Amino acid sequence: MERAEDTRKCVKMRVIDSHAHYGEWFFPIAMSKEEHINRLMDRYGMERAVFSSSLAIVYNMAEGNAELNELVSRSKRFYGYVVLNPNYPELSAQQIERYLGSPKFLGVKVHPDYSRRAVSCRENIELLELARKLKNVALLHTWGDEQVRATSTVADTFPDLTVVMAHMGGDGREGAGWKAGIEAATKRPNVYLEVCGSTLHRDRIREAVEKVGSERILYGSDMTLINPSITIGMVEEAAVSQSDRENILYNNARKVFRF
Amino acid sequence: MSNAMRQVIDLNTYFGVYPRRNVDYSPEALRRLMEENGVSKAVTVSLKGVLYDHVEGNAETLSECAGDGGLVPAATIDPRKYTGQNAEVEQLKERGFKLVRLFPEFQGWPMSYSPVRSIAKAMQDVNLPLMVNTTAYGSATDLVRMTEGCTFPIILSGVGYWTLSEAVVLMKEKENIFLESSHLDSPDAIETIVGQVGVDRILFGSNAPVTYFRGPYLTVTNSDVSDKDKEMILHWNALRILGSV
Repeated sequence: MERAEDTRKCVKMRVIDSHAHYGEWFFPIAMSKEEHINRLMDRYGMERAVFSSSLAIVYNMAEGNAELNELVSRSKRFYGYVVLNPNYPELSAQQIERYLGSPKFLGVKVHPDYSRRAVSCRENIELLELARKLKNVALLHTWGDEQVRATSTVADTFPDLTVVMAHMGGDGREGAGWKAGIEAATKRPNVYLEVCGSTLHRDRIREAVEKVGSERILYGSDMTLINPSITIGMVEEAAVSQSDRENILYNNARKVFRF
Repeated sequence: MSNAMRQVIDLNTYFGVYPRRNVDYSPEALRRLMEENGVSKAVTVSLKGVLYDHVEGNAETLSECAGDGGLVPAATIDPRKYTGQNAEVEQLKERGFKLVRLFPEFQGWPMSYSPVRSIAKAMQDVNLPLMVNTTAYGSATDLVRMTEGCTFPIILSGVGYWTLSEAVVLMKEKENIFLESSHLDSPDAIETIVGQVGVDRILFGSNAPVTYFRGPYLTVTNSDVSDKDKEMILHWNALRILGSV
């Protein structure tokens, strides 16, 4: 009978996580504290991770960003995104001014589902105009065709902004989101596809590499909501070359975030 | 955690043709994938039975698994076509199937669908385990309601971070509820289930080749549970629930 080899702590490639979270979740996830994040990062060979605050995304932007600022200040390998909420444009502008000048904050994060506002709404566009003068990276939650269009609008509005399309555009039953994401990225050289998700169709990475190129694909885990095992396993197994894997897991993030 | 080699039974695999995306789901691709990942037994079902006709699909599954010690046949019944063909259900075990699967995620029916109750009743005397995708909020709860009184093992598939609490509560209430691991994606899902309901209630599955094999596998092997617990999840629990494979 054949047997599988245990692979724990055997990740041989260096990893930078461009999509991580800090804070609690309204799901049964106890592994959300700093010590757990360090353990997960060690387990999967992560040199650095860029976090956004779940508290800031889901509930209180200012409180969450402040909490994240404390976290990233404590560790050399933790970095942050400033979360924006277009329903609070003045406060969001203050958050940009307060944190985005710090070398520990590398960009902004916008999540349309919790604010119930498209990433391309007028207030977000104005905030991104302000933010990009300080840091030129925006991680935009993107799930499904409609949100791919909104993220594409942002990318078209700011051709010099590095737009990181979270989840590659998302899933949908048959991958409609990530297929639309790949299509959008092929037309926009400033769009990077970030790979995390729960149900990961086994053709998504190969197709993204073939159509967009491994130079514009970024590794993200979505920890502590999602176990990095899911996406590390996906990149390890994907039918792409070793240099493609290294680009996705490490090289591209170094360039985008200027590490 | 040692680097010991492990035996693996994958409870959740498919083969066939997939009209909705251009992906190689052939039996050869499945065999190759299982071999590359050291899986000793893959419990598998024909997509023909899922997407077209369960009678023809079940025959195809048996045919593909015959003479292949690495493939274990799972049957499926399409509730949209089920008007009480109890004899068909009752024969599944003697035909060699080790598991029965239902696919609301592909077929679009709600879990509160009356044919589900009828199939479950017919399965009571067959005593094969039943595995059903319960990805949506409340669908596992509905499934338990629809299988009230049934004592055979019921395996919840498709449970992720968003439905983990529902699954844990149901497993605490009902001893015949088990969990297939392919969608357990939160960082401590394995530890949570082992701690709250016990290691004997989780069975490894990958959902391959629809999704990647390796992520769900690493989720189990890298979890903070004992080596013995990992062996239970990857191998022994499936052997106990399925019988000899």
